[in-house]
Amino acid sequence: MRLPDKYTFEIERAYRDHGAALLLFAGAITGDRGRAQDAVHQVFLKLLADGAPRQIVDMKAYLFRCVHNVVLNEIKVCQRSVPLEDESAWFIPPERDYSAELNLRRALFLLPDDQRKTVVLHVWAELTFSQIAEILDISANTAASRYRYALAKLREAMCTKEDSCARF
Amino acid sequence: MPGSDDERFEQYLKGFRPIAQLPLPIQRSGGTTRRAVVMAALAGTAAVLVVAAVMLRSRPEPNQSSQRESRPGAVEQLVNSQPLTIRTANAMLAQAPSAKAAIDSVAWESQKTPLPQGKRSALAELSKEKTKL
Repeated sequence: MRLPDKYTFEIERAYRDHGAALLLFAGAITGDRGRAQDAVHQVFLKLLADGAPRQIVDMKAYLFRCVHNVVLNEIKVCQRSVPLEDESAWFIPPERDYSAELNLRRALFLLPDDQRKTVVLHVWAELTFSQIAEILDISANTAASRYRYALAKLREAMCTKEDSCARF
Repeated sequence: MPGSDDERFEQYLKGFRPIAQLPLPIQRSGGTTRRAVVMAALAGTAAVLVVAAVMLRSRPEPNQSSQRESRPGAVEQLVNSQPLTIRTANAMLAQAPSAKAAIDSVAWESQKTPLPQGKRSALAELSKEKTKL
């Protein structure tokens, strides 16, 4: 079945707008950029082929939830540990500070999975705690709580390695 | 204030932009149609060029009448270059005032042909030379 061009355009626009954050979110769970990219592609290709359910209210949250599910399924199938890959960067750092980028990545991977997901979704995907709650099947208060813990741990981990964190 | 510290740290984290995703591995239907149109146009143009080239190569040589019209000097050359046949010889003999005149006209026919400007007849040149035998 060929989907209407307008629908295809909307999906492609969603990919352009949220693709980077979705990729980061998937990578934060898998620890592997290639697998993360595959998961994001899988979601969008399925949407382009089959279409999204009509009752979707929050498309952005729905996309993150889909990626979350795909990644978790993939991890379940592979049953692999997720080591941090140091080779490829995940962020474009401010002022080309690549050591800060590595510090951030390492600090992110020191966080428990749930906290890491929450901080990625709130900071880089710019989702509200209600949206995060919907994606992760938790309450909004739990999402906010996890975020506060995550932020504190992240700052602690980064500031022990980076002098620039002293200003926070 | 701890809240403002958190906000500043959050802003600092937002300064790290996630690396962009790879393009979706899809073939756009609109793009395919457009590509097909472009390909068809290119194929059509190529076909026209090939046909034109073949027609130019296989075009017959321009006919003699048209050459005669465009190059008046060559008219007589073509007429005179026709082989001497019994019929033309008979016609010359019939039209000439005498048999000698008819033979002379046949023998020196080529001299009557006007040569292009700047060119001279080899016979004329040779006739000027004085050769000792």
